[in-house]
Amino acid sequence: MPACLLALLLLPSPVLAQQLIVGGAAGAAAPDTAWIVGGGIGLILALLATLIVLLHRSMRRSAEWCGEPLPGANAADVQEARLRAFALVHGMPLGVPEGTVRACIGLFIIILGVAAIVFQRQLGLGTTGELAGLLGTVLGFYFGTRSTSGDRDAAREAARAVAERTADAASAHRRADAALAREGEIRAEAARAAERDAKARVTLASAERIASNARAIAEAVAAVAPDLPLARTAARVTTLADRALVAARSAATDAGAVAEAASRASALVAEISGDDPLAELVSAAAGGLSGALGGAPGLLATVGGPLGLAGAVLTGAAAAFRIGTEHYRRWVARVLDRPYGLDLYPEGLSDAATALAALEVSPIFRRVYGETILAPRDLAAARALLAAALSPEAAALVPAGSGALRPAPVGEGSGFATTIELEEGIHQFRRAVLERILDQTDSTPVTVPLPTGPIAVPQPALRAAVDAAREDRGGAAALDHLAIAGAKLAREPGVDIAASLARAVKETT
Amino acid sequence: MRAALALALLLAACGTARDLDRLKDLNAAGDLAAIAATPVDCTGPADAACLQAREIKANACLRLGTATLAPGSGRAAEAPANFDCAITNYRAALAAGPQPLPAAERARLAAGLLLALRERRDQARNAAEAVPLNAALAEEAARTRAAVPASALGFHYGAAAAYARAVLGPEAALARCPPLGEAQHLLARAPEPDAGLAPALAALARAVATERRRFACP
Repeated sequence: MPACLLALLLLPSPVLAQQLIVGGAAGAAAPDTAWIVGGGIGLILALLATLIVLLHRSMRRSAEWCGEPLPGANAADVQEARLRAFALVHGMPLGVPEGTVRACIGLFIIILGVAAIVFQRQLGLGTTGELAGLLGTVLGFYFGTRSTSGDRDAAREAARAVAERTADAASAHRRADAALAREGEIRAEAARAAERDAKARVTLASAERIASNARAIAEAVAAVAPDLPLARTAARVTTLADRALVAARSAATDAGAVAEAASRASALVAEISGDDPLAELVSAAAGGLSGALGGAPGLLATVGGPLGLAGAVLTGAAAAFRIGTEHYRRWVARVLDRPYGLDLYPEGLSDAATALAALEVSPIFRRVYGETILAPRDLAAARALLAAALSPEAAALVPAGSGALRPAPVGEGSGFATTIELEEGIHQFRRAVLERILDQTDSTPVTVPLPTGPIAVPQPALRAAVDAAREDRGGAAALDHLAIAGAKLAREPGVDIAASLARAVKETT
Repeated sequence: MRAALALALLLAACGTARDLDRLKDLNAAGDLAAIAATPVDCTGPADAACLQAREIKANACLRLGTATLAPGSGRAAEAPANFDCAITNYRAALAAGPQPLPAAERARLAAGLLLALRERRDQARNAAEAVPLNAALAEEAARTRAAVPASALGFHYGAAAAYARAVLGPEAALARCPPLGEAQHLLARAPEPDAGLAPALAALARAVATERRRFACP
């Protein structure tokens, strides 16, 4: 085999090749012809070699171009492309396209064979049979090897395909990883956006609640004191609260504007919180009550001070309203000492036995009617007294008498000494009747949510404090303001009185 | 003799029907005084027309009596007679219907009768007059509780009578606490009242509780 290859290399010098193959001396031949033929063959070989070199370089450049960095490609992708290009070139014969070497050899053999036959005489070749046999052997070996290498090619091709698929799979895996990473980022971003949205909505709900609260309070206070400077504060708060409510509710129709609406509503609510008309009202009322009850520190202490009393009136009114409209009306009537009619009484309570029982605990009426009604247990007269005393015209009906009720004129011996005594007597009797028809829940103390902690103001203490405060003009005015505000606020179940009381405490300290 | 009796019954029935028609017309016209003045003397039993006639007259008398008690009416003295009229006719209505009366009808008539009894009691001018009237109220309430146990009416008026018995007595715990305890017991046993009676029942409960606190009843 090495001899065959050596002979192939010596083909440009046929004499030497013949000597090497057959061991004989080459025949006499014209040296010029031999050199021409040899040179031609050498030139052909050089051309073929040049062609192979050029093809090889072209392939390498192509492979390198394939591996050049691409915009957006990472280093791993470039490395992989280069490896694939190298494997591709490495798998080719001499690094040139498939079949190039075979074509060159085939061309060389044809030229050599034709040249040997044409120049047989000039080369001094006795016969070309050995040469033809040698060439046939070499060609047969080469092409046979190439043909049997088809399986190897197929295997190599399959391996390359597998490698490519593996590379593709790896690439797909990396892309999937990247996609997962991106998905994770997107999910995280979505979660962050949802969290921001939820926070904004909580802020909006809080702002809406505060604005509604502030609006209800401002309206109540404005109704209490339309002529006071407090009304201007209330009007301003109402305007701000309306704007905050509009901002808060706009987000409901425009989901994209939640954060902006929350920010706007929060700013407005912050502005509102600077003005609390109810806190101002409570603070002013506490001042009035403090002056009115200054002479009764013990009584003031039982209701938690002026602020406790003010809070008890407010929350007591609201609590009475929650029990029922009629109960609320009775509660407010008692706190305000307003006249009230039989419409406040449930059907069936206005019987004579109740009137008789109330008469027993009403000192002035007991003095006036003790002998005529209480002593004989005159139910008809007690019933008539009840109807007259609970009438809006009680001050006229009671002394005039009606039906079984005998007259008790003012200024006469057996009647009322003065009109004031008559009015006080009616007041006592009404209170005694009310005492008997108030809900039992009124026996429970009023819980006042002061900032230092809730305090329980007993109903008797509250009534005693209210009675004492009414003796003073400023105290009476303060109670009226508070009771009216309580009446207004009682209709707003969501109003937070505690916050206003806390602000009032800060203002008074 | 039998024929004469049947004829008399027939004529009486015809008379009740005529009276009922007239009472219905007067009732539709709202003429309470005319209804109260119309004589109705049927007695039943098992006479539906008689029951209706008696009930219409009893209602009219009760409303007339209540109206005379309004302050300034100047006719308060007529109230006892009107309530007596109501009581008589409600009792006659209860007896005129088929026995026993359906519960709903019994409860409706009992509501009127008990109210009339209480109003009549409240026209008493002294304890001696009031006590028997109050006792009549208590007895009728007991009958109602037995006849219509599912209704709160008998319990409410029974408690009201017990409360009045306490108030009619001297102002001492020894005299007042037992009847007040009885009233509280009846109120506690009362079934769920209807919407019309509930406020009165609750108010009476509060009045009883107030008096029990006043006399520190156990």
